[in-house]
Amino acid sequence: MAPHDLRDYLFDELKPEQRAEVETYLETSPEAREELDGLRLTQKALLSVPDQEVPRRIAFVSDKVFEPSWAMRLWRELLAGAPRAGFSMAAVIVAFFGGLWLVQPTLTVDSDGWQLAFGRPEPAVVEPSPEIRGGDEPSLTEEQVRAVVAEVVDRYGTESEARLREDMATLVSKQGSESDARLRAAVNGLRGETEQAWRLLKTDIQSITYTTSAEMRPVGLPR
Amino acid sequence: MIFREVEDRDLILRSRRGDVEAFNVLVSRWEKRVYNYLLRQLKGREDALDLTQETFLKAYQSIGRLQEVDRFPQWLFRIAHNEAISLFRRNKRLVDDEVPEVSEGSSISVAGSAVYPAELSLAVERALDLLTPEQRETVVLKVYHGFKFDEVAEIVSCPVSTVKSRLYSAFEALKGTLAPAAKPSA
Repeated sequence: MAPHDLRDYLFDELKPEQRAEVETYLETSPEAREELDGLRLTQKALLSVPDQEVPRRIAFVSDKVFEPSWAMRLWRELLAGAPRAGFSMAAVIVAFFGGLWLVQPTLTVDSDGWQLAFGRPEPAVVEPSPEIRGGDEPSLTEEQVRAVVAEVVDRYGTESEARLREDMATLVSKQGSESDARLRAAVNGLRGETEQAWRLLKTDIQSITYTTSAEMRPVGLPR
Repeated sequence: MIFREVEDRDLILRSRRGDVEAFNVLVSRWEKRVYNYLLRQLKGREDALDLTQETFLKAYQSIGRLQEVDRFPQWLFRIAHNEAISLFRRNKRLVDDEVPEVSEGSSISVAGSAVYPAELSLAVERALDLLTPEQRETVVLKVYHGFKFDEVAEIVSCPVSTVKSRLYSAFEALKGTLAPAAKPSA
C-alpha cells in the first residue's frame, strides 16, 4: 500500500518528505511503478496535444471595444489611487475646517428667519435706558451708590478728610466703568441733603474722579 | 520564471492605475492560455475566441477590484470559467445534443496499440469528449495549465476534495485508453 496517493505524487501535490516516502515505496513495489507508469503515459498523451495559436488578435484595451465609460474611469481612478485619494480627502477636510475657523460663520435662527454671518460676532448693541445712558453694565446699583454717599455725608463731621477721600475713591473705583450719568443720578438724589454737605461732596467728587480713573470723564455736576 | 512573475505583477499594478499599455502586454501574454483553456472546454474556435475577448474585457473593467495581485492567474481563469458557464447555460440544449453517448463502440479505437502523434492527438480529443464537462475542465486546468488543487478549486468554485475526486475519476477513465496509445512501440 502506497504511503500516499500516486496521483498526488504525479501531480506534484506532495510535500518533499511525502515525495521521499513514495519514492522509497516505489523502489520496493513493481505494482506501484506500473501504476505510476500508466498515469505518466496518460499525462504524456494529454500533453501531446499542443496549445493552438490564437487565430486572430485579441482586441487591446486601446481598441474601441475596451474603452470604458467616463464613470468607470473615474471610479477606477478613485479605487486605484486609494492612498492618493485618502490624502486628497484629508487635505480637503483640513482646508474646510481651516476655512471655517477663519471666517467663523454664525447661523442665527429666530422668528424673523435665519441669518448667516461671518467673523467674530460683535457684542449686541442694546439701547440703554435714559437713566443709565452711555454706561456699561453697572457694578453698583443706584441704591448702593446713594447709600454710600449718604454714609460719607454722615461721616463728614466726625471723620477726617483723608477718610472721606478714601471712601470716595473706593466708591469711584468700584464703579469702574459706571457711567457719569448713573453717578450723577445718585448725587442728584442727595440734593435734599444739607447745602454745606452738598458743596463739599461736589468738590471732593470732582477731584477724585479726575485722579482715580483716566478713562472716566469728569462728572459734570449741575449746580 | 521568477522574473516573469515579477513583470506580471508590475504590469498588473500599472494596469490598476489605468495604464492601458501595461494591460495590453498582459493580454498578449495570457491570451493564448485563456484561449486554449476555453477552446478545450467549448470545442468551437469562434466561441473560444469570443469568450477570450469577453474575459479580457471583464478583467480590464474589474482589475481595480483584484485584491491580491499574486492571484491574478486564478482570478483571470475564474472570469474565463464564468464566461464558459454562461455560454453553456445559454446553449444548454445545444450542448446537451452534442454530448456523445458513452458506449463500448465509442471508445477510442487506438487503445491497446501505439499510434502516430496525429492519431494520438485525435485520441486525446475523443477521450476528453467522453468526460463530463466538470472532469474535462479539471483535467485541463491541472494538466495543461499546472494549477494546484486549491487553485483549481478557487477557479471552479468548489471544494478541493471535489476537484481531486473529479481529476482522479477522469484519469481512471483516460488511463485505460490513452496510456496504451502513448506507450512507445517496442
